[in-house]
Amino acid sequence: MIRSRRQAHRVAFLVLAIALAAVLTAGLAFRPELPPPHEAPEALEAQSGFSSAPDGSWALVADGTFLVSKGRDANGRSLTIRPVAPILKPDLLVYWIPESAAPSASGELPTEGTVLVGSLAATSPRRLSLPEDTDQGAGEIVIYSLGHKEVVARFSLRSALSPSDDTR
Amino acid sequence: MSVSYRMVQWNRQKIIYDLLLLVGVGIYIVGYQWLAPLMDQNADAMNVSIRAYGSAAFILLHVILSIGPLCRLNPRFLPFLYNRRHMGVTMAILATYHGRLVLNWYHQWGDAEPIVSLFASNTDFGSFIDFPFELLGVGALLILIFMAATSHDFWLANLTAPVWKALHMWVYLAYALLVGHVVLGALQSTSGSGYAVATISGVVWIVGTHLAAGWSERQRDRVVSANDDRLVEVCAIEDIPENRAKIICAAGERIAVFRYDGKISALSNVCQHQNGPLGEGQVVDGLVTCPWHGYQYRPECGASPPPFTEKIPTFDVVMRNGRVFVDPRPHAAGTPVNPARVNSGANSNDGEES
Repeated sequence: MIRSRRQAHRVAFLVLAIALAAVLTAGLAFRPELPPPHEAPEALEAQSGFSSAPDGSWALVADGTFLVSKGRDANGRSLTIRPVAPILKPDLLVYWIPESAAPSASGELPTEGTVLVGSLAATSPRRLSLPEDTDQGAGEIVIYSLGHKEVVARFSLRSALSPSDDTR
Repeated sequence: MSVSYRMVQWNRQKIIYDLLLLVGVGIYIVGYQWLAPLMDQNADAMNVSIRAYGSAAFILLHVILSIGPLCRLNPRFLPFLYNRRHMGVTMAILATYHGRLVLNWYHQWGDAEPIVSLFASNTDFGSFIDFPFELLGVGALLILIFMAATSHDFWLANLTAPVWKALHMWVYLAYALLVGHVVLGALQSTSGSGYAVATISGVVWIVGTHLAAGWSERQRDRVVSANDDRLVEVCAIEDIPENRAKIICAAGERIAVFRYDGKISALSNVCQHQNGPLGEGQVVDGLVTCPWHGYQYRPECGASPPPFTEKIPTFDVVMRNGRVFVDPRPHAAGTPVNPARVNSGANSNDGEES
């Protein structure tokens, strides 16, 4: 290099030494604390109601298409639901329909008195909080495909929770 | 050297250099993609590929930037400098492929064009830690592509070496942008200390070697003043090894004073090709040979032997009392100058002046 380029090189690296030291220091000082990757999904799954293990034993319902298990969570009674095989219907929602709700045709969802309690995803177990009026166990759980607008499965909550209806 | 145009003047050294380069890069990328999933079972394949190519380019840039100062500090590193431009082009290709993977993976799935998404997805310019680090990478990539595109001797010859060198010093800006890109990008999305330690080590190494080389060159750039006769004293004759040179800095630039075949000649120290340090080369077959790429000049006139046309300035040389003096006023490039004669016994030619 010619002399003027060597002088430019010296100045450039004096500036770089200061600038890069500042960038590195600030970049590391303000670096966010990240949890180990394997912990984050567990917290998110618990927050979304995904459950790796039921509180009690599994019971087959709806002609053997679903496994259910009763339990309790912070809100009261809970029900863990797990499809035995993937349900090939879009947007599966889970509704509680009390006995007092208006009767409906087999493929339709009553508009009065139904309570949305959660959704399902593939064959993952999902723990869902149930409303207080399920304590009597009179009513049914309906799995409904929002995309196809049809009832996929329904089963009596009482039969799902028998023989011992109450874990309290 | 050649007077007929050839895209790349391949020779055995260049082929070996490029083969080693490509094999090294290939081993790194395959090894990274094999090891990363073993070390982190949650790593997705595309993200691993993105980091494999990005880190390969970043590491290669460190290697490229190390060659210059290492050659200044120790001539044993000169063979690495010989084909450095091919290394630079390889690095630009790796960086471009990294950018393409990023566009395809992070910006392909929205309702905006990927290139629009790249520039519009993060506009938090007021924040340091959330600054759109992608744009730092884009800026660096543009510089690296520009440098790769103008690395050929066509541009070197047409722009002249000083202008070409000045343009290619933008690589230091590209390096700074890439350090910012890594610090605000990869380092913010990983919690381990491995990336941080590697990045800090790289920056300390590059800045340290360049500052050390710059300091060393500063010592050599101390201008020697002329005496009353407008002559600059160089050294005793025996201080110049046969077929080698002594370098002084006078009248604003370095002068190489060569001793060969019982003669002493002074030439500009600056090779016309890439401004390499001629005085650190040697006389081969009667011709001053640049240590960087082997460009050659006749020591008596500073002109390359026919059919080559490169020329550099020459200087008058005088010997007094066994010591060598140079007139720092340059002759026009290629001007023949009678060399000073070294009699048998350099210390016995007191009073000789030629």
